[in-house]
Amino acid sequence: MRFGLSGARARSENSTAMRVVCAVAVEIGLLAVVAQGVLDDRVAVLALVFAPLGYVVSSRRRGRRNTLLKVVLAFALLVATARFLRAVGTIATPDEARAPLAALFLWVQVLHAFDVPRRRDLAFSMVSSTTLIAVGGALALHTSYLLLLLAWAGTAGTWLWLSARPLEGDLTAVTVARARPRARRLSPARSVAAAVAMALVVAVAIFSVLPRIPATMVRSLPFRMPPGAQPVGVDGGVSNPALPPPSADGNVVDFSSNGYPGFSEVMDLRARGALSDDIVFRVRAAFASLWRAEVFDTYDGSLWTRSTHRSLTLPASDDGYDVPLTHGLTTETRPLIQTFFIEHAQPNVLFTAAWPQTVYFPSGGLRTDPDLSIRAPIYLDAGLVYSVESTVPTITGAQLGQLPRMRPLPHNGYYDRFLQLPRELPARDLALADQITAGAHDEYDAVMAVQSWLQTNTRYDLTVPREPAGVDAVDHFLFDTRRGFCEHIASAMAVLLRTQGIATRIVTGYGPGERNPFTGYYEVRYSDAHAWVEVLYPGVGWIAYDPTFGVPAVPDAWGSPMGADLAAWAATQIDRIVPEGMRLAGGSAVRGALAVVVAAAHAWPLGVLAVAMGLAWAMVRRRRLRRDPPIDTIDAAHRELLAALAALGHPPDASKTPAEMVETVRSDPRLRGEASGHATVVLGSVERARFARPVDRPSEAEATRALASATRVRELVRHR
Amino acid sequence: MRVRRRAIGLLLGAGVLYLIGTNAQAGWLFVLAVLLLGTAAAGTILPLTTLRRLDVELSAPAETRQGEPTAVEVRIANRGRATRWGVVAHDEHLGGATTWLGSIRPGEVVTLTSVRGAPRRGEAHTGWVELRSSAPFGVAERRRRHPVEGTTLVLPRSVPLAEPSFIESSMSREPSARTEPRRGPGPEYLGVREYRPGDPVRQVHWRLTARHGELVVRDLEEERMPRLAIWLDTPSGGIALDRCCTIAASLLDAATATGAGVRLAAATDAGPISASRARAIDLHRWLARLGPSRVDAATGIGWLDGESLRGVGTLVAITSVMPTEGVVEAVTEHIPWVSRLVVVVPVDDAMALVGDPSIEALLLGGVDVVPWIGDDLAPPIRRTVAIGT
Repeated sequence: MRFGLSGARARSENSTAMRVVCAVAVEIGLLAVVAQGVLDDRVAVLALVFAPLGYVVSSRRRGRRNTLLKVVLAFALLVATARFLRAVGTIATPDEARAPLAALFLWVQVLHAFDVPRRRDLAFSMVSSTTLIAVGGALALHTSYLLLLLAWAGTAGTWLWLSARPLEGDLTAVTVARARPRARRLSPARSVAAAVAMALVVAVAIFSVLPRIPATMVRSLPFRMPPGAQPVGVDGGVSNPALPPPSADGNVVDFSSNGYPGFSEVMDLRARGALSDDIVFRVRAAFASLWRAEVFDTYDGSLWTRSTHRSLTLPASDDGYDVPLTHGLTTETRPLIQTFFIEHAQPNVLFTAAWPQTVYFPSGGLRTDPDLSIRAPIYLDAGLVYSVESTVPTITGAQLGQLPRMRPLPHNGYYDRFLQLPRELPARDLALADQITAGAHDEYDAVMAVQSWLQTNTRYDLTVPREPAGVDAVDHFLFDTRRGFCEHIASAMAVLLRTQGIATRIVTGYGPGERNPFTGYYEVRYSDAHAWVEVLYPGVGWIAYDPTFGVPAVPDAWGSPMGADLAAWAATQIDRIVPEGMRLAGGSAVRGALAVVVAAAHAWPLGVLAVAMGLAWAMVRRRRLRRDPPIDTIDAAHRELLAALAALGHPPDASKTPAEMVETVRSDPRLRGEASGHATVVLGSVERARFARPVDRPSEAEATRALASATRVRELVRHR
Repeated sequence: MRVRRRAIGLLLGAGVLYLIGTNAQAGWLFVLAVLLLGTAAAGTILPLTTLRRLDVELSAPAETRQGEPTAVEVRIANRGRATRWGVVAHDEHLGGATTWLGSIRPGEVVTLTSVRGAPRRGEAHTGWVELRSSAPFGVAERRRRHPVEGTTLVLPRSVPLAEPSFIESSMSREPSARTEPRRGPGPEYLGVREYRPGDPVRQVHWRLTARHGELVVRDLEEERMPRLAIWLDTPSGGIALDRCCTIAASLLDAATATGAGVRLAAATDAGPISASRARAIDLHRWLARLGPSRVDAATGIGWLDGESLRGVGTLVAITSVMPTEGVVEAVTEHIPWVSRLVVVVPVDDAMALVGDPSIEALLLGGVDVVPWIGDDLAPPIRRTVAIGT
C-alpha cells in the first residue's frame, strides 16, 4: 500500500517571470503591513526574508511531489496558530488582537510561499498579497502609503498580463520568425502607457463619484498608549508645555509654532504669533466636526477664564468612560464615532466632537468639568490613540427659529456665568448689538444677525498688532480694527449676544482639518487651532457657531462623493506647492477657458455641426488612407531596399528596371541566400504595384510583407 | 467578447473592500477597490481594439501523409499603428495548433511555423484562423475568425511490409515494372494536348477546341492489366476506415515494389468504384479521398463483377470487422474467377480468428485468412483440424 498526495503531479507553472512578479507583489504586501509598525521587529524581518526564499524553493521544486515539505509546512502552520491563540488569550480589547492577527497572516503567507507549484497556487498568492495590501491600507495613516499601493498595483497588473497567457501544456511548439520594421520603437511603451492610463482614469472617475457611506458596524474602538507617557502634575487642570514663556512685560503668553495659548487656564486675546502647518493629529470620523477642547465663560476685557474649577472623575465601565450629561442636548442628534491618532504631543485635554458620551482612553483618571471639557492625567504624546463616541445635534436653523422666545433667562447660577460681561465694557458695544439685532424676532434671529454682521464687516487677519494696554479687546476689535484672530471674532460674537441676554460661551479646540481623500482621515494641523462660540437654547442645549469660517454642516446619511474630498485636497496641495503668482495666473486662465466653454455651450448647435463635420472629415481621410497604403507601403519598402543596396555599393539607378535590380542583387555574393530572397520579394511587389493590372496588384498584406522583407534586408546588410 | 472569471473576482473584491472600508473607515481600501474596478473596466474595454488591423494567412502543403510531420505556417501581419498584445492564434488544420504571441508591433509580420502530424486521412480543409486576445489584464477575451484557405490532402499511412506471399510478381504480364502512366486507350484521364494526325475523333475535346480555335484532344492512360485487386470495406467509423486504407496502402506499396499492377475497389452509397493507375501515388490519392458508406461488406464484395476482376490473379478483401456468413458467401462466390483469394482481417489477437466458424468456412473454401495485427500482417490462419478426422 502506498500513500501519496493526489494532484501533486498537476501541471506546474514554469514561467519564471510570473513567479518573480508574484514574489515581488507578496513582498510589497508584507512590507505594507510591516511599515505600519504593528508587528514585532523579529517577525517582520523573518517574514520579509523568508517569503522570497520560499518562492525560490517552490520554483526549484515545482515538479516534485514535495510530500515531506508539505508535512513540514503543515506542522509549522500549526505552531503559528498555537502561538496566535496563546497571544490572543491575554488581550483585553479586540484592538490588541491586531498584532497577533497580522503576525499569523504573515506566517501563513510565508509558509504558503514554499509550495506554489501551479499557476492556481500563484493566483492564491496574488489574492493574499491583495489582502496584505488591504490590511496595510486599513492601518495606514499617511499619504505616503500611495507609493506602496502603486508599486503593488504595478506588479499586480503585470501578473494579470502574464497570467492571461494560456498554460504551456495548452500551446503548440512553434518556430516564430518576425519581420519587424525599423520605425515605431516606442510603440510597445505607448500601448502599455495607454492601458495603464485608461485603468487610472476609470479608477479616478469611479473614485470621484463613490459615496462615503457612514460606518454602521464599527464595534471595537481602538485606544493605545505610547511608551513613556508623561503624567501631568495638575489635578483636573490643563497644562500645555508647548507654550512659550510670558512676553517681555510678563503678562502675555504668545503663540509658539506648536503651542496654542487657548489650551491653557486662560485665553488671552492679546496673544499673538503663528502656528505651524505640522499635523497635530488625524481623526477617523464619518463626517467633519469642530474638535472642542476647552470652554471659557468669564471675560474681563482681555482674558477669558473659567468661573468654576470643579471637575468630575469619569466613571469607568467595561466599554470605556461614560461622560455624564450636564445640561446636555434634548434635541435630535446623530452619533459620531471618532478615533484620534496623535502625531505631535498635545496638552492633557481631550479633543472631542460636540457632546461626548463615551471615551475610550488608554489610562485611567479622566476628569471633566461641568462644560464637558475632558482632561487626562497624562499628556497626549505622539503615538497615543483614543476614541470617543459623541452625539451631534441635527436640529436645523428653521427649527431653532420656531422655538418659543427664551429671553430674559432666569437668573440662576448656571445661566449667570454665561451672561457675564465686564463692568468696563463700553456702551457703544451694547448700542452696536442693539443695532445689529434690531430686526430679530427671537434668539435664533439675533444669533444669525450677529454672525452675519461679523462675517460681513470684520476680517480674519493674523497680522493684526496687539491692542494697547488697558483697552477692551472686543471693543478695540469692533470699533478700531475690524480685523483679528478667530479669538477676537468669537469673543465679539459672544459679548454682543450676551448684551442681548443670550447665554454664550467661548470654546477652543481645533477646526475640522482637511480630509485626506486617500486615507479618509481628517488631518488636523497646528494652524487649525480655533475658537468659536456656543449658544444655549434652553430646552434644546448648546449649539455651536463659528463666526470666522462657518460651522461644518452635518452631511446627509449617504455622505458626500469622494471626488469632492479629492478636489479639495488637490486644491490644497496646489496652494501649498504652486507660488501665488502662478496660481493667480493659472486661475485667470482657467476662468477664461471656462468663460469660453460657457459661451460655446450657448452656441451648441454650431458645436454639434462642427463636431459632425470633423468626424466626417476624419472618416473620409481614413478611408482614403486605407485604399492607398499598398502603393505608399511598397514605395517605402522600395526606398528601404535601395538604401540597403546603396550601403553595399549599389547606388540607386533610375534607368534600371526592378527586374534588372533583381539581377544585380543575385549577382552580388554578399546578398546570397536570405537577403536575395527578400530583395526579390520586394522588387517583385514593386513591379506588380507599378505595372500590373489593378486586379493583379499586391494586396495590403503583400505590401506589408514587402516592407518587412526590405527591413530584413537592411538588418542583414547592417549586421553583415 | 467573453468575460472571464477573474472579472467577477475583481468586482467581488472591489465590493468587499468597499464594504470593509466603509465599516472600518479606512480610506485606502476605497482606493484599492477603485483600482480593481478600474482594472476590470479597462480590461473589458481594451480588448475591443487588440485584434484590429491584423491580417492572417495560412500556408500548408497540398499533400501529406497521415501521421507524418507536416509544417504549417500561419502569418500574422499587423497593419495598425499600435502594438497588439497577447494574441493567441488557433487553427484546426491537420490536428490544429494554438500559439501565443506576446506582442506584434505595428508593421510587423510574424510567421508561426508548427510541425503537425495529420491524425486522419482525407482532404483537410481549413477556412479560418481564430485570433484571441484578453490583453492587457485577462479580464475579457475578444475572438475573431479570419477567413483563410488551407487545403491538404492527407494520404493514408503506409506501413512497410515484407513481401506478402500472395503477391506474386512472376504472375505479372508486364516485362518490367512501370510506374509512369502511358498514353493509350483506357478509362483514366491524363490531360489535354493539341491534336496530332491519327488521334481518334472521339478523343477531341470540343469545348476546349471551340474556346481555343484549334483542335484539342483528351489524353488517356493506357489501361493496364492489374494482377492484384484490393477490395476494402468502407465502414462508417472514421478510424476503422482509416485502418482499412492503411492496410490497402501498405499492400499497394508492397505490390508496386514487386512490379505487380494493382486495382483498388470499394463500395460507396452510389455503387461500386474502382481505380487502376500506373502511379502508386495516384492510388494513394484515391484512397485518401475514399469516404465511408453504409454498404455492408457482403454487399460490397458481391458488387465485384467480371469487369473489375479482369486479369486479376489475386483478390484481397480487407474487412473492418470479423467476417460474417454473408461475407463468406460473397467471397467464395469469386473463387472460380480468381486464382487466389485472401481476406485480411484487422484484429488485436490472431487467436480471435482461430476456430471462428466464418473463418473456418473461408479456410475450407480455400481462402487465405491473414490477420492484421498492429501495423503488420501476421502469418495466415491455418485450419483447425479436429483430431481423428
